[in-house]
Amino acid sequence: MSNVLLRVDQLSVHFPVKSPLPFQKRQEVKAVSDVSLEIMSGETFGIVGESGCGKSTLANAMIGLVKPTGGKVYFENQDLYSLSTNQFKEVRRDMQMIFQDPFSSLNPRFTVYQIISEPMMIRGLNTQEEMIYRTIELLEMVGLSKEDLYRYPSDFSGGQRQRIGIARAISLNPKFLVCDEPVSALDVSVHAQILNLLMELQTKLKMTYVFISHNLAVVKSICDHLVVMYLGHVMESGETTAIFKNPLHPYTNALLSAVLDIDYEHQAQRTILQGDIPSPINPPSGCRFYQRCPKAMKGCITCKPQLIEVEPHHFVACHAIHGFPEHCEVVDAKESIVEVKSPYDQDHGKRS
Amino acid sequence: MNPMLKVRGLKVIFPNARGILKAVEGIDLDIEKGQCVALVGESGCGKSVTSLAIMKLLNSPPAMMQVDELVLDQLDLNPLSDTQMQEVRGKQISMIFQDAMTALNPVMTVGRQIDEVFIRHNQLSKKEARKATIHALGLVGVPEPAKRANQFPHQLSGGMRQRILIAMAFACMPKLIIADEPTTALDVTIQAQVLDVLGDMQRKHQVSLLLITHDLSVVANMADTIYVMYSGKIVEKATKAELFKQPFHPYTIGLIGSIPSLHDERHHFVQIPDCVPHPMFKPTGCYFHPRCGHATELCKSTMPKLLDFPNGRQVRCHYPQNQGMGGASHE
Repeated sequence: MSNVLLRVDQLSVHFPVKSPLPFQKRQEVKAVSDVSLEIMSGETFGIVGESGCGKSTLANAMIGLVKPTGGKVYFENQDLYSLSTNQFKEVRRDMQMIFQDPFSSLNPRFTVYQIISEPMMIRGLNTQEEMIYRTIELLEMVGLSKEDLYRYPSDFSGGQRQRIGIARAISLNPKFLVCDEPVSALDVSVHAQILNLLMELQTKLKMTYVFISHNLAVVKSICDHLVVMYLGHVMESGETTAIFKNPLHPYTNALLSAVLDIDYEHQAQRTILQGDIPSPINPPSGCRFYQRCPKAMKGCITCKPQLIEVEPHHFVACHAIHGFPEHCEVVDAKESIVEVKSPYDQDHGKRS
Repeated sequence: MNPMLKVRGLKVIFPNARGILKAVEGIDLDIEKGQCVALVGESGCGKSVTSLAIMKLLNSPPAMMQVDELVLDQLDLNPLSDTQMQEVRGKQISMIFQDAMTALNPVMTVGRQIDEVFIRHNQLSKKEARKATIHALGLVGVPEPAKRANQFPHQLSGGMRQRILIAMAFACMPKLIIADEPTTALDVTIQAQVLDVLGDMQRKHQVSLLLITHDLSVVANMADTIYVMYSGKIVEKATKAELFKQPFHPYTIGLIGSIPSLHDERHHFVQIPDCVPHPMFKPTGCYFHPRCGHATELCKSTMPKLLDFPNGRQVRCHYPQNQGMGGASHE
């Protein structure tokens, strides 16, 4: 259990943006900046955050769908981005992905058989007969039947389509599976079916999951480790139990209180975050969260907090928790609470 | 007390070449003044069609709608023509749609789109309308409303767009607002903001709200009375406290159980097997029996009647769970 399957080392992904006028300084969307993490073999690793915080980009960079601008990704101790094309293809077989939207991730003109057998076809090791046999086996594994083999995606409901997507992802027996919000496009009642299926498959096939979600209630019940991201930075990370027992970062707390619970009588007083996530083109220089943070201090604007271990297996990046480091100019934390500039003043036109 | 909205026996069918698609099969709804009523169900159970039918927004053909009674605050909507309905929509009933990007016109500033409501229904001049618009935007917590009014939908974030829609729906202070999955497309933090605004506005102005959603956690925080819908029929009606404490219908029990909660420690989710039957091929008897753990021969052959319980509670099941008292059969 304790060996590291995937290691991400100071990974950054920046996308260039077309400058609005010629000869202007080229701007960049800083989707992911300076993220390091380790994923153990056999665990479920959660990435949580609002949309636009870079969680999908991080996952894409982990499996080589997006080329990072800085940092390294090691899968089974091989640097993913220094491999040759052929070696990369070999490694990539062990890393598969389940996509968010089961309506756009399946080719509407392919039959279920074509969709699921496509990875095997590309690998080119199986005969036609073997592929049909294997596809039926996979269909039964995900709770569909062999009558569905020659039907089209349009014949299925959202939950069933997601099952087809899962069958495709596990067709090559991957070791590592990225689930990018696998249930958020589905009905609440189908969530449970898909999540149970994913957990069942994990124990059966001994896979390692990266589970991306913005629903903390789901993450709590299935993830072993967790990172909370905001605007491309890791705000809090560690063991799920430690984080949920003692959430320290103001952003984690805000996310937790935003989760609507059906247990409405026990719902604690909600602290609702004001404003939206700012544009990642010109992210705040200090702590990226200071504009919306209820505990923001003057020093947060200029000084970037480091990810520091506060208790075993629990890391937090927040000045309010472990104070300002010495090289920061503003130290007086008590008197320096400033009026926080509204994030609405930012130009939202840059992102759609 | 007369309900704000009274619907009796609402049926909507879509006849096509292969047969008749029964989307809604006889629904009774009551919404009191200032109350928030939720209509809950999975996708494909007919809840959106119900909301469109109440607004009389369904095109015929293909849809065919039949209703015994459709009364909004003593105004019978049933015989009204399309032109007459245009006076009602926006002024007396209005709607908040799910996807704000498609509900707003992308080539008009949001201010002009809200102005239209005032100009059409309150006969204001353009200048007065703009003043009213800015006021309405301020009410829903849009910062710098005068500046926002001159922006286009694509310049605003998802939460802002949804606020614009709420402002537009509340513009003429209608008697009833229908919110069709108002927060499904939003993030959790933004969802909490938008629901807060919606709830505040509803309580402050004593507007009746029909909330349509598949998310019971939203319902638990907003609604007073809840209708659970399955495959075109109401299967359970109860107040919020009763429904969450003591759900009677196996479907409701499944829905509540399938939601992960921050407070419990289980690592396996309760699931309802399969999915909603296709409305063209509904099973015989109780529509829920193929997915129900308590189904018997009786369930396979006969559709249960809506049983009445004290406190206006209703359940459509042969074997209601979680209860000791017997129910009186409803006609």
